[in-house]
Amino acid sequence: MELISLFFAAAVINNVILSQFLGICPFLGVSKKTSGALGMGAAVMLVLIITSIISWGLSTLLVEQGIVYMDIIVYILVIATTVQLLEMIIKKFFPSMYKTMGVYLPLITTNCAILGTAIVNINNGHTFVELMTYTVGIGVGFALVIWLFSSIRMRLEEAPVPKGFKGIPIALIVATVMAIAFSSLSGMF
Amino acid sequence: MITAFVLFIVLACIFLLVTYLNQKTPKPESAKDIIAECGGCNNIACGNKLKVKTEAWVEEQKKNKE
Repeated sequence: MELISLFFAAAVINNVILSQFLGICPFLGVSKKTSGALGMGAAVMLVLIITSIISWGLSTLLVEQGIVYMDIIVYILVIATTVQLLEMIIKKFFPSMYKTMGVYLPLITTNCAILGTAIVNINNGHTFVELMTYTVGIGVGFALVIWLFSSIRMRLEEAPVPKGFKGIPIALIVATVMAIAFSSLSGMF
Repeated sequence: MITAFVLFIVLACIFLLVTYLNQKTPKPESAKDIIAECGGCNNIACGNKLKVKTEAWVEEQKKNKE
């Protein structure tokens, strides 16, 4: 039950985008089309899981060697390496996804949601099972929100939006309403 | 201190190796040059500096005005 509440809290209540305001760049940049948003959600989730596991393992080494001050540098290098590896795989095996994500794919490196999750996992002293639950929860939350947001944005393309609100302004208003809707679930757990 | 230095060097070397391999991997035919294909959309969230006002974009703006 504890793991379920941890997962639900990570995915919905403390949503990485709408509650913690991390990963806003791909949220606004790759949410024009649902296909691109889903691809970005999947890519971020994959990078999150890989980097969280490696960072968790390395954090033990850092503590043992007494070099905890190196943590952020180490995590950033792990994230950057993972993203390069993922880009190489996507480029080779998923060309259509590579084209859809475009310049935003290498930008996963600077997605603070990934670094934030790695740091939270270590600071909260999560066990491996808790780490996996929390990380997958964060990834699911990110993918869910970016997918919902892209669906709404696609519908807004056809909607009679006032001229001054077209594009980014209406997208930001939608994001605000979504954040309010998600925060209303905070009493559940 | 030495351990920190060695760890940093090892991780940096792995990163450089993977980056090199990534650069060597050929881009798919359909996405030879993503930035060159960009016609410009004036999206402020886009990091691409090439925000050219294409004919299509100008026409779209005219339609919006109408």
